[in-house]
Amino acid sequence: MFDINTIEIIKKIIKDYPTRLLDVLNSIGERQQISKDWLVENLNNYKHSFRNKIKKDNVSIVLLCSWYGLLAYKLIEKFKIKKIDRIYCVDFDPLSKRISQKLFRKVDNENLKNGLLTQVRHLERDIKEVDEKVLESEIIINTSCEHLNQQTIYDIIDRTQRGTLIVLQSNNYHKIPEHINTVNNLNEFVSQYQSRLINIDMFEKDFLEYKRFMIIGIKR
Amino acid sequence: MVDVYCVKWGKKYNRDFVEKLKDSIEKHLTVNHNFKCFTDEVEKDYDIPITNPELRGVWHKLSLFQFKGQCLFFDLDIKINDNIDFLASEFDKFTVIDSTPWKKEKLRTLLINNDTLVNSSIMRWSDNTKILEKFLKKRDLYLRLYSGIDRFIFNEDIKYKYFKGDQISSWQEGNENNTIVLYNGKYV
Repeated sequence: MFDINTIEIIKKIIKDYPTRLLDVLNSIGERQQISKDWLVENLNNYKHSFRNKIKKDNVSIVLLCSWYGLLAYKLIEKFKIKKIDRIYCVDFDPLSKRISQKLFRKVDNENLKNGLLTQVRHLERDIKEVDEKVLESEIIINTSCEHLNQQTIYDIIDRTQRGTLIVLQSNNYHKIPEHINTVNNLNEFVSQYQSRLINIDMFEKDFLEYKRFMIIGIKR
Repeated sequence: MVDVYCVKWGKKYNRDFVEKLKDSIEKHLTVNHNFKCFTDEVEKDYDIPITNPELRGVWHKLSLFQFKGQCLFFDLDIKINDNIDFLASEFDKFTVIDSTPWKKEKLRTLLINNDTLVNSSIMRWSDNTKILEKFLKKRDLYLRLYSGIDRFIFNEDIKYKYFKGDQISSWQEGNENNTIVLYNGKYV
């Protein structure tokens, strides 16, 4: 009836990080799972060629504002276009790494056993301070555009290499205090990036109180 | 000179609340002071415009920490019944209200809910710029973790002390005749 592993993880979080329990549960809740699955599914269907798609065997992926890393593990499980060498999870929360390791330790061990050797590397820093080397990764994903100043997002994209595959999500959930950069609709979201990206695929998902928007494109 | 601040943001409280607070302060604070309203709708001479438009509601209270000097802050949903000169001293230490008296029954969820024993309906400070800097540096994280500034102050290792004495109470305690009565949570 109840998944024993999940219960054990929740017990550990309550014991070590009780003030984060609700935040952790929010980070892996149903809507988060749906949004992340939706992202990976559409990424797998993206037809255009991006940097090193053909040349190189493996890719690196950067997840900006990665929270506790759910998307990293969705990608390891379901991403089909290329093998992933490394996923960088960038978040300025000092507890992201430790909580993520508690949440996904068993998954990490099972992946190792099954030969899924993708390394998840947590970087505790502001996304404005991400190293150039990290931004050389082939795929950059930010599912939290609504939380960021627009200029910050532009600056990150401008620092990536030509041909980098960029995935962005935002929403029109205006009433949440931390949503400082929502958009009203998908067209508005796309228009913010047309000068920086080409071959843009666009998507919209209805969550009743709000809509989530996603674009996948290539850095010009 | 004491700077007395309040915050009026959005439509939750109308101008009457500000005027009523201003009149109460004039009547019950005999120390020299300037009344200022930090607001997104500047109308009166005493209004000053908000400086962090990306913030919502109560979070603008933290923006007040850009101001230094002898600073006092009052929420709009309070009632002052008597002299409040006792508030106008010891500005050097950041001072807030102890909400333990009306929160006793709810403490069992303190940790898991990121709950708080701080109430910021009245605040006193002289230099809190470091608190504002800390908040702005990781604003998104704090907004996600805490549903108000009381929780931020209580859970983020910020140094504060509580106002002494028993002249401040909440309407939730059943005493509405104290020197200052907070109507916290009444106007939702």
